[in-house]
Amino acid sequence: MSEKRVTREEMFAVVKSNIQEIVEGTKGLDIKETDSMRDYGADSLEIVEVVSRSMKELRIKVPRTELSGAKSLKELLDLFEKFAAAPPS
Amino acid sequence: MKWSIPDDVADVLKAAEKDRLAPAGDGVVLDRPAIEALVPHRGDALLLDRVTALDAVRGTVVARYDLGRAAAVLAGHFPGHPVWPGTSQVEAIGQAGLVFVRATSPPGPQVTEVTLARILGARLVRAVCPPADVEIVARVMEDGLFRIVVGQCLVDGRVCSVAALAGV
Repeated sequence: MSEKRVTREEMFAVVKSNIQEIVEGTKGLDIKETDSMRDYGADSLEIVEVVSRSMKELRIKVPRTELSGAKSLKELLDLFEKFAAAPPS
Repeated sequence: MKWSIPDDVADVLKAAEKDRLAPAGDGVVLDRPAIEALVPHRGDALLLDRVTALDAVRGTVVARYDLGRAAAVLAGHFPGHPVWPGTSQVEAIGQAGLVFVRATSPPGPQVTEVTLARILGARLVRAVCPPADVEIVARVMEDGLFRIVVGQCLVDGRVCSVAALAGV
């Protein structure tokens, strides 16, 4: 039986939930795909924490060299979609 | 944000207080110049003299450090009663983990910058006093994008300190 594919909306929900958990002052904020975590005042370690936790929850492994290019949440979700679709190496 | 230590890391850290994380090596896997080729630390800031064992499968590394090199620090910590600082022991564990990560990185695009992000926990069990050939044993674990190093400093086979660090 194949595992159900996680949709982009579900991925975004996980990322949003982790931002609200990790980045102070973001609870209740309207978080948009076009935003960057920096827009919410996240420091570099908090950004890594959000991405790391989201990848674990979604069971997606994106190489760190690829992640450094993602500047917005949209670009992060694009990477999540790309690597969720890729066969495990 | 609530800070927590992953359960598997806490288990290894607890076990490290009693038992070695990896068997001692008897040869020289990496000498000081080879270590310098892997990490940016130099001079008195490099707290490893040689690596005596490195197990890529188990994620462990064993290194040695002659406390005679720390004479300048020990002169002031403390005058007449030299004790190797706990912070130096934690740093040595972190350096051993970094050596492991760099020595076992697969070929291909490399992440060149590795940063210590957190000290998850540490326990100083026995004072480390000169003269001593300190053994640093570390196990590297993955936690998402983080690498977690759980390590211990031993003198004459006895555990003197344990620490867990997270780097990215």
